Amino acid sequence: MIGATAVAAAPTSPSAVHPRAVHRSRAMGGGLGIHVAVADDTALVAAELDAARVAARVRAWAGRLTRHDPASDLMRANADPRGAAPVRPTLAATLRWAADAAELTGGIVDATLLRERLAAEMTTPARPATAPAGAPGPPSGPASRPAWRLEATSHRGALLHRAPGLAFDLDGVAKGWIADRALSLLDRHPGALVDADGDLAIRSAEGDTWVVGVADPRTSGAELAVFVLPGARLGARYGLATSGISIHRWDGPDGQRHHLIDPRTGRPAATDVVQATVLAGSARAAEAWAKTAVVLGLVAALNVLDRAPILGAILLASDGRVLAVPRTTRWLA
Amino acid sequence: MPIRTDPTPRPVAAAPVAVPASSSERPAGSVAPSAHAGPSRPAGRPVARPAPRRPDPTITRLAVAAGGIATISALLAAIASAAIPAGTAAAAPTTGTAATPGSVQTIVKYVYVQPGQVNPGTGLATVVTPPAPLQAPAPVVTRQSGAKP
Repeated sequence: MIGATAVAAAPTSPSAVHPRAVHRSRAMGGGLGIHVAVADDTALVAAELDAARVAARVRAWAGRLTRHDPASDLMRANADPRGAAPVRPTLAATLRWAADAAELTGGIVDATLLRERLAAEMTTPARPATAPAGAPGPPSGPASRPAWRLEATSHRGALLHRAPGLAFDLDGVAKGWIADRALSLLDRHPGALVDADGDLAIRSAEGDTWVVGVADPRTSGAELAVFVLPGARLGARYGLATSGISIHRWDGPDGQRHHLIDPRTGRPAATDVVQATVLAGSARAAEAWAKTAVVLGLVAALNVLDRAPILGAILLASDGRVLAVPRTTRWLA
Repeated sequence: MPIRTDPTPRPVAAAPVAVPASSSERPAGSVAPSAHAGPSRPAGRPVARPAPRRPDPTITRLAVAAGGIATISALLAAIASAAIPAGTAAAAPTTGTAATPGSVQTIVKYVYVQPGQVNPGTGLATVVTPPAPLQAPAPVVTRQSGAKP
């Protein structure tokens, strides 16, 4: 989705030493922000042009990966009746990350839940008594999910092998991947931040910092906490992502539903985590762990995050508590 | 802590008695000389009554010493655990119900990041470290997808 585009004067954090050029537009159904830190004011114009160019690339990638357009690469692959569907490089790269994310999170991040997601959005009962022909049965656990794999081809594309009827929904997996990919296009600037509808990829230059708030979903404009992300000599890279169940909700005959599907049940996760924010080394990893935390629920999430390769995590529980894994505190303002 | 090495009362030396020259001549009720009594003495000389045999005190001493060490160790451990101020150790509320013998107890570590929050359950102490409020909102915010910026 493409909306109004604007290049704004850069708001900077109090500790930022580099001027910022900021490009704001809409993509992926939400807001897109490209922030570029430059050496001095003379580089601002070039940085703004770069930011606009990267924003256009983001919209192109999102157009290939969306489930809302039948002509997207993703939906064409979903509709392909063959057992091995050819996919182009962007979709192939994103699917490779989806496979890695599934392995990393023990199957909690699962890109093959399109049918379950659509069932959750329906106002009729989410799961019919008898599944339609060709549809995968209800999953009893990550290990029972239908298998799929990519076979590399000679031109960065791939062949997607999957069970008949298996349909993909990349959603946050694609946003994290897009944020990281977009950030890599801004390497010639001292620092940059790509905000892909709330999932952030960040590179902080030595002596510089990025200050990022964690939105409180209960109060507009309020923040649960504030991260301060310092730079390093060769540029420190971070990923910050937030996942939750308080925005995408629907009323169903069996109560309220949300969009985060638990692959172990095939239904919206029964969770006491309203929102999870994870700080990691990349946006795609942060997004995967944030989603995992919400799906698992508070106690299991804190256990898993304590051992996960992340830098920190903040969880908003359904009883209003705001909890963090202990190592998070070194990054908080 | 004093350590009693030999709580057995020592026998008081008996009054000197005349010892007959030979055992066959001992009066009834007299004590026969033993190997501990030393060489036989000339008849008519007074000698001390030999002390009764006492148990080897080494075992008793070792037992008392081990008990003392265990007591001191327990006291030191209790003092050390009580001396750790709240907030220096990672917060560790237990999860679920109390552990039963033989079960594996899961420890969840977390900190509160907003002021005024307290541990609501039966878990151990938690760290309350609210961040200092910023003077202005952060210029960039991470949020759930679809949320209004």
